[in-house]
Amino acid sequence: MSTSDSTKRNRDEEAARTLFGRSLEFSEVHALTGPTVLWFVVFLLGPLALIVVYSFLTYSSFDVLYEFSLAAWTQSVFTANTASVFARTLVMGVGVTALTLALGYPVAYYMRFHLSETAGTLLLLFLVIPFWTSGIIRALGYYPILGKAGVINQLLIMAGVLDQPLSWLLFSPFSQLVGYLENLIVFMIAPIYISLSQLDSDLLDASETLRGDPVDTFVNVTWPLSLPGVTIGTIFVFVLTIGNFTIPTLLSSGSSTVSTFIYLTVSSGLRYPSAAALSLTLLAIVLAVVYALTRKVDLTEIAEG
Amino acid sequence: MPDDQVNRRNFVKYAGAAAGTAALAGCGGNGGGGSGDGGESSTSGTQSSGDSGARPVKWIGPAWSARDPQLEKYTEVTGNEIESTIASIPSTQQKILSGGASNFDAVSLETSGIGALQKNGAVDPIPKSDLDGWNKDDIAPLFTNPGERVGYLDAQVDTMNDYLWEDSETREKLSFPPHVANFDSVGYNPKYVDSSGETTTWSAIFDDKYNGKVAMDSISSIAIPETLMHLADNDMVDVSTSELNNPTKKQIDAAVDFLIKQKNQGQFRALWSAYGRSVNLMSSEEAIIGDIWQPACFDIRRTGTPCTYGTMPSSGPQGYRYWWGGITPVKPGASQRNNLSEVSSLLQDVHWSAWFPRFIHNWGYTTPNYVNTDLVRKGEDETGRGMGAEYYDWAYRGKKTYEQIDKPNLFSPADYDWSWDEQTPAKNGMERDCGPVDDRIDRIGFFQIWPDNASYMLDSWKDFRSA
Repeated sequence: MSTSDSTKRNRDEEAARTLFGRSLEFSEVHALTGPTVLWFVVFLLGPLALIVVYSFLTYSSFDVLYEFSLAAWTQSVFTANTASVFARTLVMGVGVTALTLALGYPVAYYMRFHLSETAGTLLLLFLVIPFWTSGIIRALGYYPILGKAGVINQLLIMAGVLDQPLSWLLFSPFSQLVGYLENLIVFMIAPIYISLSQLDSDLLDASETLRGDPVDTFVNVTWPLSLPGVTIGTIFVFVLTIGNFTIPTLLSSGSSTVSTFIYLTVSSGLRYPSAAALSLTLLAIVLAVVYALTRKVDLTEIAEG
Repeated sequence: MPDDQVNRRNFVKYAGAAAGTAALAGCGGNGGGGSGDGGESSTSGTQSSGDSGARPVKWIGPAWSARDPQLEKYTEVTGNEIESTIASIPSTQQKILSGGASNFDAVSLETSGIGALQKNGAVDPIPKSDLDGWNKDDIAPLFTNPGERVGYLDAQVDTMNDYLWEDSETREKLSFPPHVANFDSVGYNPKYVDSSGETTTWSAIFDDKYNGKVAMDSISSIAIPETLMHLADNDMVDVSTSELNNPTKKQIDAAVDFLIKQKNQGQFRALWSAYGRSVNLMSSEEAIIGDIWQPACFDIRRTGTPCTYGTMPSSGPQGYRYWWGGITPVKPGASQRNNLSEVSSLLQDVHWSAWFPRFIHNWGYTTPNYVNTDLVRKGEDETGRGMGAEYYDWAYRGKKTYEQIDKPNLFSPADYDWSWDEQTPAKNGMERDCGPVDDRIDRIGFFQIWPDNASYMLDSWKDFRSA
């Protein structure tokens, strides 16, 4: 076999391998991402496009006409009434997120620094156990607790603290807040706990060695390193709060949030264009909040993995 | 990358933690949706052999309109297999108008809910000649001749005929033939609400005395006419009897403005749209008065909380909220599936029978064939026996029970042992709330429909809901 033949054969094999390798890589990538992409296209982008289209259609008494119209936007979204509902919902979202953070962070901190890893995980599981009961049942469960004839009021009356039951315990902003906290606090605790679990203990020792007191150590070491968990927890709690349906429906005295407003729009007269426009507005707000919270993400590092 | 930044990997990691939490929690963040309307929909069925049409016969409607014993009775009587899809009123409308019209044979709704299907051509009216039971001897004049029976309602009578007939002039085909009806009022807890007066009006739910203790219906087509009656009675709005169920935009504004003020003053303990919620509010005594349904009053009593269903006055603009529920073929489903006659049979053979009036009056509902006393009072047919003398006279004639009832505000007709044979009513027997059926018919305030200004009403209603 001549040298030139051997060189040619090596070149061909390399070309084939490269081609095969590229081909393999190509098919691997597509095989791995294809189902996910297809899933998102069929079940996310497709329906979303449909919602966008519907928001520009004409409504006529229980019927949607395929005629372009801005009425759903001008009459249902850009109104003072809708703005107040969005404002109320966002205020509730911010308030609940702040409270869950204030109450959830110490729990996560305790689980990380005062319990063993096994005990921490076990406690996390305990926090989840109430969720094995339906959210509707748990919301209704507040009636015998916070109601006028509920446990708290009756105990306070029996103890002589009250003459009349407190009516603001139930069907009020207070009862909604309690419901949201109970539902969502675990979504704040879990990511913060995971974040704190990754924290290198040597850094805390180093802070102490450098004469940092516990407060300094927390402010300069623990808190900054737990921010990823705080951010993720904030996103989850905020988004779940403003999209929640059960709690404002069952624990408020009848005040609307965006989600109950959308339901009202559909359930009374099947006004799909208005419901679509409201849903898209809510989606835009959620995306804006998520974007704002994750704006520090380095896209290059994401690409590099 | 600084550690406090969120990159893809740790985002996925933390999100995974939260998602894992959510998974363990059974996606508890939202805790499921739904309005509490008893679920959006569910399907149940019965079994048997069939004949020419597609089987099973498919029936869709709210729970109150299509209970399992009604399906079982249909199969027992006709031998046809039937299946029901139970859905809330909006969900029923949605399923049929969003492409499901070919999948169902029969739909049952109430008068304000059926309008959407009628206007969109989704019902297939039944020729009067196909319903032997539809005659003036067997069906109450309230349906066969409302102009004569409740002429005092002026133009509201026209809306009754419009909903009942395909063409209210020719009256050849029934667009929405009735199977139940009721005269709704105000329910209250007599422990806290003065019940010494003989009558109750809608004004009671707006009385300052009950501030923060009212369960208010949040359905606009119901709450607005109720409010208009209160306003009219107090000279706070200019509205005629004819307009009560079909108000002008100005009247809608007046009612909604008033309701917003009431809401902001804390008059309502909570709003309700789902039946179960109204029962819950009243039975837990969170609310002590409300514009609840009559079956809700019975269910409240069953929980041990007393409830009285108010009797409306015989004069003035305030009166009962009258509605009927009906069964009608779905277009084009019933004809495509060759089940038009089966739907007629479902209506006539089961719901205009001897058995059904007794069954459904356990929830307080009236049936259109109650005037057929030979059948309904002491008669029987292939569905079974009628109500019996005691139950019929109690339900329709305002007679007392034959047994003494110590706690009338806890009385439930479903739990009482009714006598078939006629006897003498007990001196301390109990009279049905709201009195004899003729009194109820004489005291109707408005007939519940889907009004002409519905779009405007719904937009205004959003102001109330968001207040």
